[in-house]
Amino acid sequence: MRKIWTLLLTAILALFICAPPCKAADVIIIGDAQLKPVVNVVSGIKESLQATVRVYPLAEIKGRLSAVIAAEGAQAVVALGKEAIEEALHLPPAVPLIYGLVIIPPKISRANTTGIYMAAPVGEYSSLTRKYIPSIKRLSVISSSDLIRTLAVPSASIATYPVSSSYEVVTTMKKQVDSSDALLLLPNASLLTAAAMEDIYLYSFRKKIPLLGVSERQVRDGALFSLVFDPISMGRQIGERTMEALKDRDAGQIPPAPSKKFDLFINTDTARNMGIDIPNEMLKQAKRVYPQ
Amino acid sequence: MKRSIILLSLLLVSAFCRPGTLQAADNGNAAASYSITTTKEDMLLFWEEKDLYVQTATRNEKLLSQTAENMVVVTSKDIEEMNAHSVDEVLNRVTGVYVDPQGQDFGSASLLHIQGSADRHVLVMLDGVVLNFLDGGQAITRAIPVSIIERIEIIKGPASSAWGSSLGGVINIITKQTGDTGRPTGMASVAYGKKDSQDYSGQLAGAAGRLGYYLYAGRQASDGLKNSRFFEDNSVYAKLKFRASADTTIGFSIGSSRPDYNAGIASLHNSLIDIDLSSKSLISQLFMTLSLDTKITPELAMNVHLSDYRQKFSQVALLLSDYIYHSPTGDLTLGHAGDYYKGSFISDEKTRMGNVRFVWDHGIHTVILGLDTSHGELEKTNNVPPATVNPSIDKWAVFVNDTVKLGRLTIIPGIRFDHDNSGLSFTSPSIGVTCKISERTIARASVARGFNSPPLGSRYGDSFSTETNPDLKMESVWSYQAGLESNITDYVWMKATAFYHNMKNEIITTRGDILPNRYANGGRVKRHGVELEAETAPIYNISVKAGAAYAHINPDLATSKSFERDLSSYVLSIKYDDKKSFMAQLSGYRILWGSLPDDGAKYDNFIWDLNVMKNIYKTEETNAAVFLTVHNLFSGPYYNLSATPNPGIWSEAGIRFRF
Repeated sequence: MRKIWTLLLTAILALFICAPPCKAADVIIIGDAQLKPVVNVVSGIKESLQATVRVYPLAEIKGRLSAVIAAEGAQAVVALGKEAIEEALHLPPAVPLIYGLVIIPPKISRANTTGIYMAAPVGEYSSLTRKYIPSIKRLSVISSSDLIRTLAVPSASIATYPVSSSYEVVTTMKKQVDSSDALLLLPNASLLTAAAMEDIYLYSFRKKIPLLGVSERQVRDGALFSLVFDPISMGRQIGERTMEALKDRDAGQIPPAPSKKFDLFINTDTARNMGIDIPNEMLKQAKRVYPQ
Repeated sequence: MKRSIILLSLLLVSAFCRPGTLQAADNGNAAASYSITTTKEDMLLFWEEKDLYVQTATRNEKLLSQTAENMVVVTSKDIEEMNAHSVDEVLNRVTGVYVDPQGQDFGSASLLHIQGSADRHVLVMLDGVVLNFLDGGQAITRAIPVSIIERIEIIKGPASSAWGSSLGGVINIITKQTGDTGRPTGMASVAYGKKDSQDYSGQLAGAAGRLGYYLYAGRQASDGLKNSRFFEDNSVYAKLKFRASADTTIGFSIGSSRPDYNAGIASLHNSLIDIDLSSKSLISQLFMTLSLDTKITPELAMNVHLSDYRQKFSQVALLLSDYIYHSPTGDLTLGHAGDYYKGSFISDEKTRMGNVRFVWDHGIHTVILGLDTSHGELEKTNNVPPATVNPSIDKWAVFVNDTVKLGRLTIIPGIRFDHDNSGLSFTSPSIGVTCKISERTIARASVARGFNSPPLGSRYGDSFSTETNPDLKMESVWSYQAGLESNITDYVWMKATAFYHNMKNEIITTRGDILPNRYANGGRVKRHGVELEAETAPIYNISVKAGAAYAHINPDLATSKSFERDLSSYVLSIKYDDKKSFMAQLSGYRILWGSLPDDGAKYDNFIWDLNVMKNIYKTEETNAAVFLTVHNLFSGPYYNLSATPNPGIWSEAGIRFRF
């Protein structure tokens, strides 16, 4: 037994001594690899990034990111998620920071920073309705003021209503939306509570005002259609921006952008109940059509 | 005591009579709380929780769609919602796991079977430490505090190509992680119920510089719900993680627990035996682990894990009347009133384990190469007559497996070679395939050869009640499993698995109840069956979870002391969760053991438990919830031995405070 232990320890020591030094990573990615979207974004980054990368869980890197970057000789950092961004904000501005997996760009003043965000701009919804569902002429958007500011470009066909609580979402909807052809909710976890969503579905069905959602689940529950970002595509975009930063371009010069690709989910039962005709061309674009 | 119950009742009533408190708080804080939502909460806007996580499979993390094993994961959230006091309670709700209660009271122990396997065939681990007794091969999980558990992974069927001796399956218990914030987080919990049944625990997690910590202390006790039983356990656990460098983390954990269980008076009178006895058991567990995780290159990681585990089990049983065995040739008196029962013994075990594992993640391959070693010492002392034996065992094994990702298809080949110093060795190959048939459906199939190492008690005897048989061979099995897992509709998830295990060299006792006994290798035991699991998405906040498992056990009747039988189990759970402040869950289980009529068993009904939880106070960083659990709601009888009846309805209530 003693021999086996000796052999084991010798093998470990030999490995430490003989192993080549840990190859430096050009890019450090911070994210929770337990989350599937993080795994998918990372695979998208690896597809488009011509550089060595290393993924660190946030817990491993907290409080010592600068030291890790110095040890690795990394030239850029990708932060996936709010907590990861908060950690990366402590870095000196010389290190380019590219973020992802945030709903909208965080309010930060750090230079050399850019990113890709998850929420679909209102324009993506309105261009779809213009093209395929012309009966929806006027769209009401209810959400927090920061989401509206980032995602909605004011126009005659889009009415925006900033709110600050889930209670206000429901009361505003009841007061303002009657004059609209559809209601769009932007992704805000604090506003879209389960109780508020129940009221919204009920109101949407009673008034026959279609709801445009942000997730597949909302379509399953009764929204007319939803646009959901594709994490792998988001990863590719992040990878492209990181490549730019590695080529000495100031990341701060590249404005934050939404994901380029959105998956479309449609509920044809809702469309039928509300007398909305969904053309085949639109159905063909859908990733999934409900009911199945 | 009555005053405590009244106080808790008042607390519960006041909690349930405050509808809307939390809702109002939520509304009021909505604008502020938006800025503090976490990444996970944000992502839950786009995906459902079940689609969000990567699950852990065997010895390395990978996606569920790349896991060929028939595997179930129970999380700390599931455990908390059950208000469970023991791992056995948690496993009782897992389809295909058969929990055989050995006393049926607060704190009593159970033996574990998977898909109709023997208890010694189920490998149980806590943070990589093997908990199975060297003496008998079985594992008792009663000493593990449930509050320290992050998740339990259950692999049904042999997993010998990765884990070694695990012919029936693996129960891998993983403890909570150390904290990573300077401000400590934690939880304090108090529960109190019938017969002074108590469960207190406190947890603390945080970080001081590079050192992360998780600390736990708990106490459980009960005056016994039936038959003059009694239980007491104090347990502590600590885990430290030190970030030595950018690439290296060193971990240390230590845990101790001493469940003391008095099984009270047990009587059995049937056509085979007449016995009345009073018994008591004490388990003492102490374990320490030391681990090193390091990245050698971006694609190659290494993990070294060392552990020291001490386990002492003492069982003392006193005969209250003459112990009569009705043999075919006439009655035999095996003991007299006042004598120790023959099963009284103390087993003192020490095990040191070490393993090193390399994970190479390159392109479509994830290759794991590892080496396991262990040294175990057993000192077993019998009370009747006093005698001691001291066998020991050294084992080593090498294993390698690969997860090859080919688009929708994942192929997982693996092989392991085990050897011990008694000359026994075994090669366990396996191959598994998963195929993502559609966006919603995954098919799985695996073929594996597995084994079970004969326990020391059956190899080396105990100088009195069991004779030595060093020629015992490994029990071995060829196992075949195939299944489908699918979200068949948006509201229903289903999983179906069929299995066939063909085992040979069953370890049997050759002389039944007559002493001294002797263990030998018998013939084949074939087990085949199916498992069905289903779960619905919440509809109006209500979700349903159901499972059914069936196993037909067909032993070689010429050699086996066992008999051909059918084993089946059913679990059903209905949950209401408003995801804000209130959760209620009604859960039932039923296991049809196929016991012999002489055992006086009664189990032909569902045993229902009701759990209710209500948040009564919530701020950004703190939360308090009260809970109420009613056990065996309809006082159903459930036991497979008339000597150990279960208690009827009983309830407990408590409060949990998080910070």
